[in-house]
This record gives sequence, C-alpha cells and structure tokens, in this order.
Amino acid sequence: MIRYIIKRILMIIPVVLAVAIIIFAVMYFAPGDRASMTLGPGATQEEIYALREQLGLNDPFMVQLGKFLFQTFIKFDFGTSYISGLPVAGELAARFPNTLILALSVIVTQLIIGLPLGMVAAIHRDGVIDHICMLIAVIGISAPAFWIGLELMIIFSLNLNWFPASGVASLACWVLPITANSLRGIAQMARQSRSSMLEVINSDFMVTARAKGVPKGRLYMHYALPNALIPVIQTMGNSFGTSLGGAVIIESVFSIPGIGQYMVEAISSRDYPIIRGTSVVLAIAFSLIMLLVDLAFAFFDPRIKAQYEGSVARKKKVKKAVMSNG
Amino acid sequence: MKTKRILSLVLAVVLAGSLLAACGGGGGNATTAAPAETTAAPAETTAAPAETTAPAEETTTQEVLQEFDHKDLVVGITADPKYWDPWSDFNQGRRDTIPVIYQCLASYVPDLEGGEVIEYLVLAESYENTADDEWTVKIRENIVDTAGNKFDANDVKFCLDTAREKGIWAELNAVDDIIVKDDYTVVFKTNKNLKVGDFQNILTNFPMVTQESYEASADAMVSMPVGTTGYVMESYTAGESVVFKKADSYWNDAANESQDPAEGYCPWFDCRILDSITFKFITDDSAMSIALENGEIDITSNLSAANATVLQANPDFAVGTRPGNMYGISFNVSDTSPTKNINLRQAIAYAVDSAGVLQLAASGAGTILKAWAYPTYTDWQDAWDSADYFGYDLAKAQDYLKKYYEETGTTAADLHIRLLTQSSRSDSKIAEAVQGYIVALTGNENCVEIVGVERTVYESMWEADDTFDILLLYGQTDTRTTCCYTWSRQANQEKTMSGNDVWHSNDDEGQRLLQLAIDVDTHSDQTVADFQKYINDQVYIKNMFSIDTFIVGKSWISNIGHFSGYKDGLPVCTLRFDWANSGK
Repeated sequence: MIRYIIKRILMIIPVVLAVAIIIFAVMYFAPGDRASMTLGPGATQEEIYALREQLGLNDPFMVQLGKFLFQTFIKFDFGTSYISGLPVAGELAARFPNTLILALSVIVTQLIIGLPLGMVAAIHRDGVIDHICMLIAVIGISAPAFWIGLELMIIFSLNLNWFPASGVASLACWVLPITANSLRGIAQMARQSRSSMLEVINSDFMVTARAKGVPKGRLYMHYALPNALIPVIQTMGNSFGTSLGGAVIIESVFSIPGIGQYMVEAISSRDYPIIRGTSVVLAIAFSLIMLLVDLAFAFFDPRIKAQYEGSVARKKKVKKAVMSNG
Repeated sequence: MKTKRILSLVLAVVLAGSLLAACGGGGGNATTAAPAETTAAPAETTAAPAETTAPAEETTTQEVLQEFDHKDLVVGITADPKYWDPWSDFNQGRRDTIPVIYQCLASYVPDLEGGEVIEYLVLAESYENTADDEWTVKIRENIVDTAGNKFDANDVKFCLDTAREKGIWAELNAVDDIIVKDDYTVVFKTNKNLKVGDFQNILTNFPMVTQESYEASADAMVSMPVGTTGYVMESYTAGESVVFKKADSYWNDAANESQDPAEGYCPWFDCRILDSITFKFITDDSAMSIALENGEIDITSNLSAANATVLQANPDFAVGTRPGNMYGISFNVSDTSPTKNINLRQAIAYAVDSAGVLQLAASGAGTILKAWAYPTYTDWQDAWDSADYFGYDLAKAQDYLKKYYEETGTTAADLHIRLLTQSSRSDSKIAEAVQGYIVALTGNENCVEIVGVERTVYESMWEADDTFDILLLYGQTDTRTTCCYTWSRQANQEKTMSGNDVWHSNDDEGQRLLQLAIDVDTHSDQTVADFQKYINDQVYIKNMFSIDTFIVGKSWISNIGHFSGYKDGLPVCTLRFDWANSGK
C-alpha cells in the first residue's frame, strides 16, 4: 500500500509537468499581446519590442518554456505579475484559503445534506419522500449558480437584511456564497447516493441480512452504506476538484477574492505568470485530491485495497491465511 | 408511470418558467431585429434616466465644515486595486483610489455641468513653453508628503525617470531629459514626438511622490503608499476593502480654506469634506445595487443603466451621470475590404442612426456626437454641434448603396462585411444594433458578421488590414482634453504598430492634415477643423455617441455628477453631504 501511495505521488510529477507545458503553449500561441495592452494604442513597434524584451517575451518558445520550467520546478518561484509586480505565490497563498473554504463547504454539505437526502430517497423509493428529495435535487442541479446567488442576496441580504451581500469580512459573509455554491453539489450527491443505495439495497446480502432480522438502522448504515460509498466518494472528489478552479461565478457574484477570479482576470489581461502559476497549483491540488479519493476507495473496499497491494504482499497474505486455517 | 411523466413535465415547465421570469427582469434585453424605416423602435421599456442632481452650488465654508463626528463615506467600486505604487498599470480599482493618495503636478478636472475641463495647478505653480522643445515648470515651495518629507524639483525628476525605467509610459518617450534648474524649477527637454496635449498629459497623469518616501518603502510603495494628499491608507484587506483616513495635516490647508486655484486649490483634494473614505470591492453589478439598498455602501459610480433606473425611482437615492467611452464606426479603406468604396461608406454612415443605436444599446443614456471628438475637449468647435454629420437618412443611404452596386457589380447577396468589436456586453449590444441598421439597408440578413473578441485580441486585430471591414472604435471622453490625443494615437501612422492609420488608408494628404493639427507649432482651430472636415469628406469614421455611466448615492449625498474624477474615478471630495440625515 505504501508503495502504491509513493508511486501515485511520483506520478503527479509528469501530470503537473504536462499541464504546465500545455498551458504555457496555449498562452504562448493565443492571440493578444501583453506589451501592446500595457502601452496602449499609439505605441510604436519599437516601444512594444522594448517592453517585450524587458518581459522576456521576445525569446524563442523553447527558451521561454525552459526558463519557466526551471523557475517553477527547480527554484519553486512562480514569478511576479506583469501588471502589479506582486509575487504570484504570495497572491495565491492569500487567495487560496477563500477558494478552499468554498470547495470544502461543498464536501461538508454534500456529506451532511446530500448523502442523507439520497439515502432517504432510496429507502422510501417511489414514495412521496423520494419525489420530494429528487425534486430538490433537480432544482439544485438545474438552477444556475449565479441565479441562486442573486436570489439569496435579494431575499436574505436586501429584504431580510440577515447577511451581507458581498465580501469576506466576517463569518456572516460566507453564509450566502456557501449556500449558493453547495446546492449543486448537494443535488449531485443526492442523486448519486440514491442511485448507489438502490443498487445495494436490492443485493443478495441485504436480503440475507433483512431475513436474519438485522434492525433497519443498522441494515442501512452498516451494511448498505459502506457498499454504496464508492461512487459517492468519486462524486465528492470530482466536486471538490471542480470547485477549486470553477467557483469563479460565485466569487464574482459575492466579490470573494479567490483563485477563480484571479485566474479569469489574468487570462483577459494576458498576465502569463499568474495563469501559469495558478494552473500548476490547481493541477497539483487536483492530483492530490484524486489520490485521496483512491485511498478512500481502498479504505472502504478491501477488494480495491487488495488490488493496490503488490503481488508479493498478496501472496504472503494468502499463505498466512492458509497456514492459520491449518 | 403515466402520472410520473405528467408530473415531471409539469415540474419542468414550472422550473423553466420561474428561471425565465427571474432572469428576464430589469431590461437590458435589446433586440437585434432590423429597425423600422424611419427610426429604430426601442426594445427597452426603461427610459434614460434624467439627471437628478441639483444645479451646482457655491460651496460655503459652513456647509463644508458642518460639525459631525465622523464624516465617513463608504464607496462601492468594481475592482480591487491590488497594488498601490504610483506608476503601474491602471485597473478600475486604481482609477477610483489612487487620486485619494497621490497628486500630480496639475489636474484637469472635467466640470460636467459647465461642459468644460478646468486646469488646476496642484503641485506645480506654473508651467511655460520657454523654448522650442523646452518646457519649464515651477513647483510650489511648501509641499510635504504625509510622511513629512518635503517635495521639490528633484523629486519630479526622480518620479519621471523612475516611471520611464519601468518602460510602460509611452508618453515619456517625447521627453529626452529632465533638468533640475533649482530646488523648485524643472526643465523638460522634449523632442518631435511631443504632440498637442502631450505635455499637459505628462503634468496631469503622473502621480508624484518624494524620493525619500519611495526609497524608504521596502517594495516601491506597492503595499503602503505615501502621497501628498490629505489622506493616508489606514488598512487594506485584499479582495474586501481599503480605508483611507484623514492625515494629521495637509500641506495646502490654506488653499482648501481659500478655495483659490492660484494657491493650489483643486476640488479633488479638498480633504475638509471627509474624515475617512472606505472603498468596498464589489465585482457584480447586482450585488452593488443590493449593497446600496441595504446600506453596506453609500455611493457607487459604476452602476449599470438597468439598476440605476430602478434606484432612480426610489426617493432614498440620488442618481447622476458622467460620460463613459465614445463609440464610432470606423471603416477599413484598404484594398482588402469592400468598404474601400466611398459610396458604400456613405451608405452605411447614413443608414446607421446614432440615436437609435444609443437607444437600443443603452436606453438612450448618452450624448450624440457629431465629430471625432468630445465637447469638453479644449479644441472642440461649436460649429460641429450643428454640422450635417451623417444624419440618419435611409433614402440617401440607399442611393449611395445603389451607386456602389453599379460601380462594383456587387449585389446585396454578395456583400459580406466584418464588424470587429470587443466582446464586452455593452460593445456587443452596440455592434448588434449597427448590424441591424446595415441589414435594414441591404435587405440581406447575413451581410454583416460580428467579430467579437476580447480586448487584447481586439487591440492587435485592428492593426491588421485584413481582419475587419468596420471597426467599432471606442475613445475616451472627459479623461482627455484635446482631440489630438485620440487622433495622434489612432490616426497617426508614426504611432501605430502597423505603421498605418486605423483606416489603413495610406493617405498622405490625410497624414499631412493630421500632422498640422497635432503638431504643437501648427495646431490651431483651423488645422483641427481641416482634419475633421477631411475625415468627414472621406467618410473614414462616423463617431456616434458617448454612453453615460451612472453614479448612484444615498439621497443625503449631493453634487453627484458635477465633476468627473481622475481617469473617470469618483471624485469623492467634490461631493456634498447632509450628515445630519445620513443615519451615521
């Protein structure tokens, strides 16, 4: 298992490298020029060339790529913003927690609300409760996040004056954005967990357990739920990863200084160090999340854990089991 | 099963209906259908809000110095400035906040009610064109920054040399050297690149700091600025807000008392008005409107027409306007484009109704223009107001179109025009309206292709002569003081990356007339009029209108929209407040 973990961590390196090179190439060949944006209309070719020289943009593609890879992966320096001159790493460090809060809130609400909602729907399949739960899920998936955000603002900030409409100054500021950001995740989790539970509820071992007189609560929590968790964990992992880079709409609506907004502004202003640095950070974060998801699979499902173990370790286990059985 | 299907269908219809109802409110949904024959039927149901600010009042000392414990104003702005050094790129957040900390040698203050731009000498006492390619500036002798360091001529040289080293201020290429003659006199040695208005641009666009404070800063004032205004930064929370508090003293309290421009008074820097200014960063327009309504902010200068119109009807708010960008349709006259033909250009110019486009794109909130200039420019000519400037005339347009068809053998079915625009919401709406008028002219629904791209791509695309036929060209209004600024940058072959003007005309006569207009030695009303007439005769560009942007504040704030600020920011110290009724 340890070897598997180490192998997966090492595999993150080529993944992140590939992402970095692809992003670099895309921005290199994308139309638009940072220097002429900075100098504005009326700048001469000489002035633009001089600024591009200063920014290192006149070097050939491979030279620029080499410098970027060396600076990022050897010196661990994402560089400074072309516009503000501020270190990208510092800005990311300041903004990442805000995006992390939004992303983590999705996980927490999925666990607290989405999963039970799906379980209840599955247990009461085709009943009124099932229909109500799935109606909530459909609304959560269908309604656009920005619309939900604005509706929450109008109701709770403008009309009731319960929460602020924007910013991150206090805990109260987070209620509305977390709610708006989490609804889709809750809906996805409800649907996924209902689907997984339905598959498990009708399996043979569940019938046997019911026949043996296992109480309902224990039946669903100890027998059904662990077996239904694999797709659920996958959904959580995907939601978390997507939220890290994709909460830009919620960040814009609620004026949250997160990574999503930072990246979008950088793309429109061709601030290459920010785009590259943010992409690398998100690639690393997503890879680590996927690793955690896979490890969670192994934790909940011994069959998957067995697959992660090497063949030597497996043979030793089998031999030990045979010998202990006499 | 059947019941389930019916129920699902009903739920889907209800959901779709509620989403449409929620998303459709508030206007901003102009149609792009071809306009009616004589005038475009406005799709907007909201009328352009009229100015509600009271006429300009004389500021009395009593009014300004009314006793109140905490004259604290909270302003909503759309972007976080992020960095505070004086000479980096400007984003919208910096435009609003930088003038609270830094001053320039001079300031051009657009008096929107008076329709003029007024020059105030702030750090400079005087300036003079003392010789060919030489300007002398005298600095006031009592200037001290908020850290207590004296400001003098050496600091002027330091600031401009440091800004030049950054390489991002193209205007400084017109300055060969800056010589410190004595502690309070600076001489600028300029070169032939200096055009009309460029020197004033240098005086009014470069924030000044003391060398001592700048060098004492660990990061070139990126995180903690020190300027010469009466305010200091108290706190800055990235992504949230910045707070400026009144400094212990201001070097020119006397000028604020006397309000005498000769002493250095400028309404932008009257720090008696406010004890503190908080700028809250709210990126979403609807969130900004809600923040105004629930009291999180007191005023904002960046509200959309849709939200401003709603608040205008509310007696708790005061709404003013200021001019935003101006827009014109500019033609590509190179051989690669069908618009090289003057009859086609005439046809399009007369077919597009500026008032109609303004109504469709911005509910009519703006000013119709009749020259490639803005009325507050110092070289604006009153004769242009009444000129026949491609007034909407569909019959005339169709005559020109017929001539074009006869000359070239083209038919309506063959015509294909690329309209290049930025992909922002407002630019796209204007482009769609223009497209509608051209379609109405030609009768061919597919004759106009809108090429909407983001700004960086737009700036490089118009430099090429084969990427567009019509360019939706934007220009600045009250932040510039002379026609020559825009002409010099977009119509001047010497200043564009392509080496040609924005029309790709290779027009020597046009360049000759342009140089006469923008050159310091030959600039005059006549040369300006000659160039404007020439581009009209050639139908190179039809400048349509400027679109207003809205300043909305609580009803206890007045003088909104009287003045515009540095680079279009909100000049908070020019506002007036009824603190007793503010609820603070």
